[in-house]
Amino acid sequence: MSRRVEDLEREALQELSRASSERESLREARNRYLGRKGEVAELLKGLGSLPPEERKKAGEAVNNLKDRLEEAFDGALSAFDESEKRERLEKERVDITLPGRSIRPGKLHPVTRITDEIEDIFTGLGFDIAEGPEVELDYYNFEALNFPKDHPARDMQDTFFISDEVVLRTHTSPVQIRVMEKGRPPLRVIAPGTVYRRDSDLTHSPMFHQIEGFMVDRDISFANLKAVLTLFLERLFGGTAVRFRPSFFPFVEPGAEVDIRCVICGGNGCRVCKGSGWLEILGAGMIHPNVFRKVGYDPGEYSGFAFGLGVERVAMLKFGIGDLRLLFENDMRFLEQF
Amino acid sequence: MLFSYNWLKEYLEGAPPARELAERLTMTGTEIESVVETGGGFTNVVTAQVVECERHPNADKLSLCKVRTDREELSIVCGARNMKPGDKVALALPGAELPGGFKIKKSKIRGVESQGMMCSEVELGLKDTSEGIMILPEDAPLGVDFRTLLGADFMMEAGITPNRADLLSIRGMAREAAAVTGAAFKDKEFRVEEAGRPVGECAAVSIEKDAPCRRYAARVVDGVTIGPSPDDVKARLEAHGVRSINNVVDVTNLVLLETGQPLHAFDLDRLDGASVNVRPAREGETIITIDGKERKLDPSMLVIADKNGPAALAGVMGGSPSEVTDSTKRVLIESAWFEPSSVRRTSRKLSLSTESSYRFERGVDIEGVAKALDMAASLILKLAGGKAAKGPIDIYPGKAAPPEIAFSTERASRVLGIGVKTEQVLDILGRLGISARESSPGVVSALPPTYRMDLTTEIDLMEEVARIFGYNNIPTTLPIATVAPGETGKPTAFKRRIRSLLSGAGFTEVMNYSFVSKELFAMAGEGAGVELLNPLTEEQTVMRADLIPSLLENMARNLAHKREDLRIFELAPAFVPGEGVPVEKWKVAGLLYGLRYEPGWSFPKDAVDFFDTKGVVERLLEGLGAEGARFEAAVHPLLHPGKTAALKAGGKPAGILGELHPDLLDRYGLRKPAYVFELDVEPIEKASGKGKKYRELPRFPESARDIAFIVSEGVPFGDIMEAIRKTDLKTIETVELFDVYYGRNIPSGTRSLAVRVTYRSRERTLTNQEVEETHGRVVKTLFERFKAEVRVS
Ligand SMILES: [Zn+2]
Repeated sequence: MSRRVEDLEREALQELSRASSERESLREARNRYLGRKGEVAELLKGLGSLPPEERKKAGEAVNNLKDRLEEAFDGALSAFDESEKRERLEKERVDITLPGRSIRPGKLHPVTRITDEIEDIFTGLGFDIAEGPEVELDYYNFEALNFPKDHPARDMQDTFFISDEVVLRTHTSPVQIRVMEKGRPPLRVIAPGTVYRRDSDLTHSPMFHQIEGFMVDRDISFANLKAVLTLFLERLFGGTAVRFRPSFFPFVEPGAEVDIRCVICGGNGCRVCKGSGWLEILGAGMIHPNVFRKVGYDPGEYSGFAFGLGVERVAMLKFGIGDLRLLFENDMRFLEQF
Repeated sequence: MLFSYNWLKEYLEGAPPARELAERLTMTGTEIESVVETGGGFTNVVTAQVVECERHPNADKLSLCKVRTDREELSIVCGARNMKPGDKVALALPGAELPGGFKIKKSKIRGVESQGMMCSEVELGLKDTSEGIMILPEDAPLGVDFRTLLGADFMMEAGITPNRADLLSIRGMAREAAAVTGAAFKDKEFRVEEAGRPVGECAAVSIEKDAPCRRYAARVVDGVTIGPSPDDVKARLEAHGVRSINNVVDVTNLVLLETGQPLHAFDLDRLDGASVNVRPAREGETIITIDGKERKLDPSMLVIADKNGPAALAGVMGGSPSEVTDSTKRVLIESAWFEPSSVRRTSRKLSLSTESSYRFERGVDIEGVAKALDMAASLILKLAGGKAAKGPIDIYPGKAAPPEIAFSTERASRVLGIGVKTEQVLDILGRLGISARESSPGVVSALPPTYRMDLTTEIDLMEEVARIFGYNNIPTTLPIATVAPGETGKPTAFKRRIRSLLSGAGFTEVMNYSFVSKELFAMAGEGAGVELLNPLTEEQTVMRADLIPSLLENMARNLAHKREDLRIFELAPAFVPGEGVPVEKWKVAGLLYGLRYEPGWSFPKDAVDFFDTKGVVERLLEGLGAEGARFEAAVHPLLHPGKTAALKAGGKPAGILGELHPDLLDRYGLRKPAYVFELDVEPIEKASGKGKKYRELPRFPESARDIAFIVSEGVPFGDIMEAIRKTDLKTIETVELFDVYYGRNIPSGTRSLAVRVTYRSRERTLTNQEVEETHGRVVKTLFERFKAEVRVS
């Protein structure tokens, strides 16, 4: 019996190696040996004729043979499948260096991107967003903001007039007045928007964008102003040094100009910072008591701070744009970079 | 304001170096925008004397010199030959830096050590060419910084804010510098030698009642000789941007720069009646100002008049007939105080701004009037000779009385967020020349000087305390915020969604000026626009009422550099005249031009058409959640009459879209059609008010039927679709158009449409019979309502 097992194994393996180049003959060979009516099955059937004491041992041998042959044939078959699959996949190869296909999204204007970024920082600090008209009454643009008529402070902002009493707003500060007139403290608001000044050269555009912000409550201090603006500038510019200098805007007092360490030269002095190592970035201050009086708040009860910054300037610094005019030329080669 | 550091130092004891001073001024609120060193772009160059000169032992062309300064003798190798023992020279010591960044150090030249360099004028940046080294005058002192010998100075440019009129002078700036640095302010005194007749015998001055002039002082100098000013006066004026005229006029300008008090010198012999009257101009009066222009006056303007009429515009400019000329012998010097608002009005009305009006508008020190007059008179005597009349004229009816201000340290502590102490307040206010005393515990009573007209209330003093204390010494303390509800951000959020949906659809955002040319404005055929009274250019005169023309300009610009495929949008307000204030309507507009897909290897090269445009608008409305939007055929001046749709949202007009009118295609030289849309944000936002609600997923199967039919081209598909839906609102779930066909086998004037109708009930499975029954009604409707010839159903 064991000889037959050995013979059969040798015979089967020889056949396997002969058939291994063709899947069909391999499958046929497997069937011939391992099929339901194959040689191995025949062998098993023949076990019944053996004496019982040999039967067990012979049975084991045949079953082991069956396992070995199955392993050999299946291995050969699956190797065959593998190589066939490899071949097929090889044929399906694409040139992955060809450009991808998609509908390309458009780009948002750099001014929008910066405005969004700033809005997100302030809404994260609990500020609301307000809007106001771009064509404003003199009252909101100047008078209520403590710029009296016939006052030289008005020269700080060259104004476009629609009529004697109607102007294109020169800053987003009128939104302060409109929001305070409508609401009551506590107020924490930012107001982004378009503003206009009658000035046009390399560094001035007759139309540009500002973001105004203010906070009014009981006991708001200059120290609070410093903290909020420092936090904001650190987030916007990534942990930069900040300094505060006294300055003058009629609607705040004490008034401040806020500088950041020059992002171009790191403070060593360069053309952008005119050698000072600092960049002017924000105007700010404590809301003037006269402004509170105009909106009917008691300056003895409430205090607050306000600030404003130019969006274009931030965009130019953050994106490294050297020429302000690019922002309004709407050249796709420029816009598509953002 | 431009000012000289050296001039400033005439008023200071212990002034810090120029750049340190600039930094300190900047950090206390007087921004120094630039500091320019004049006459000496080098450091560490001193005066020295040549002791002896020999030939260099190892080089024929070089000399080896012994040179001494005030303290040492140095050996210097030199290539020049023009010096001899005893000559004074400019010696750059080791460590010196010359123009162009050239640094001097000890070095061996041909084996001999050279301990510095004798400089030529070229090397010092003083001239473009020179021969040999610079030989100084024999009397030059030794060991002195060569820059001081050259008269080196620093010109500083200060940005003076409108509240600080007191800083518009050398003297005022020096006072501030003293306050913020701790240097001592030393004032100058001027005494006028009055050798002439009593002034009353020479001239008369009067101020008309209620005229906006609170003080008028004058002096007379007789027998002046008009001529050029000395060089140092000329140089000083020119360095400060003032042209030298003659000695008398130069004095008035010099005093203006130094004290901030504008002055005027009249030729007294050319004032009719030797008297002046300060009064409003009479209706119809005119004056020829010293710039030669004739100016029409009105009673809102204040003038200085003689018997004959206006002789000067008060505080703005003098008149030509009475100006000082070469033949002038007697001068009347005016030093006055005019009401700021009056000067400002006159200056604005006449569009005439001068150094004088600039200062009066901001406010000059009424208490400084007489002092400036004396300074001017004494300088005129010095430069132009003559005799001063006895005594000044000084009409000063009401003395200035600045208000006393109560300052609470407790309130200041709360506003500033620091603990403010009384002694600190007294110290700071004292340094600023504010007389202050503690009137009760924690309360300081302060009286500002007359030149600080900006200090009138407590908050003004708080700012003074804060800025001298130093903003950077105030801590940062995050506020303790009261939580309050707010929903002011809605309009902004909606606009953000519009931007994000359109950019997602491939549109790049543009930003155009809100003002356009009249021509561009008229393109959209609107009526009157919102016009600027004072536009900067013709290109920017009217506020736009439509965004599309701007987008067309953008397209033209990009086409000019061969950018052929475009999808751009803009979100901005449009302006239309309203009652009083113009009305602002936010709009969003877009433009499509060129290929539907970006040019490339793998997309079909089809051009965009009307339906791409409509599709963009439809997806935008869907993304915004706008309900009940409808499109209707329409006409619009910018658009092709057969390819224009008007949008209605919530029943209200909400914009237009379509193909650009062929006339405009020609105007812009376009080879392919362009498509645009312009939508009104407000009605769309209103139609988008409802929040999203979940609708249960269908539990029963659908059943779809296709119909193909031929129908007249004149029947809008929108009507057909609506009619089909209305056949049974309950079971018709969707109606989809999947084919539109013109041409072969279709009679002309008609088209073939194919539609898939999907039936589904939300309550149960529809039987085949039910579906057939409804579908039959659909077919019947098509036939009856639209005369459709149904081919497949
Ligand atoms: Zn820099």
